[in-house]
Amino acid sequence: MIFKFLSKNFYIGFFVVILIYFLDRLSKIYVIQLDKNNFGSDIFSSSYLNIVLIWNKGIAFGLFSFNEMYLYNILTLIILIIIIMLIVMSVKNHRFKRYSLLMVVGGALGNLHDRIFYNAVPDFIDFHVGEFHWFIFNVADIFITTGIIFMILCEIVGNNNKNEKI
Amino acid sequence: MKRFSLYYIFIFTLLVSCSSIQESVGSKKNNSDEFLVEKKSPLLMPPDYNELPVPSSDSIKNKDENNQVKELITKSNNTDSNSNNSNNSKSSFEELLIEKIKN
Repeated sequence: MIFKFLSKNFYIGFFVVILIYFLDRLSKIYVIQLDKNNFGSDIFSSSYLNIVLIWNKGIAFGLFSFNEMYLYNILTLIILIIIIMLIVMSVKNHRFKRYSLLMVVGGALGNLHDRIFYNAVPDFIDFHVGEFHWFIFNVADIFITTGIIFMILCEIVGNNNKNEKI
Repeated sequence: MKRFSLYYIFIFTLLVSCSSIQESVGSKKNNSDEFLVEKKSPLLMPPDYNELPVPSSDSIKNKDENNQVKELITKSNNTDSNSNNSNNSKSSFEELLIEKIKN
């Protein structure tokens, strides 16, 4: 009965989140399997891109890599609360900002899954120019970063429109 | 707007899970300091080493060796006795022959 009252936008949003989540999961499962087959060595390496599996127990840029389990669980709980907040925000917002938020939610759910089941997040995409390496990230991080950039752009564009009206 | 940007950056930091290659390679790992390694004292023989009991397997070996030696001795004795017997028989045969020839 509830499904009848749900709007078309809800289904599209739900589909976007599930699609991002499964894309992330598939990529991670594939890379973990390749890493097992290669006995932990580099899966792919070129002059600009390496695929190396690394487990991150912390948050962005390897921050807060706790050895204590209770601190790790608190961090996971905070992330879960933020995801719920983002879902609520996506329901309230419309159009472009809504889909930006959903991109962030999809990616965040992918990372949360690994945090709960593996106690660490697998990172494997390593872009580098010569000896200079950027941070190693995964597919979920790409969607989260893109979503956040879009959200900031929405804020900038929204503020500019308000100023023009005044 | 600044408030929102900071809010988004905070969300980004918590949700993204990228890690630096240096951490993963192990530059932050605790390496052991070679100057803290204690030197071990040189190896020495224990003071009561000679008083230690002889293992049982060695005694069995010794016994076996003794038995073998005994066997060898007895065999050699037997062969000697056999040779003596044969010599005796030879001499008796010779005597018989000589007697027959004389007769």
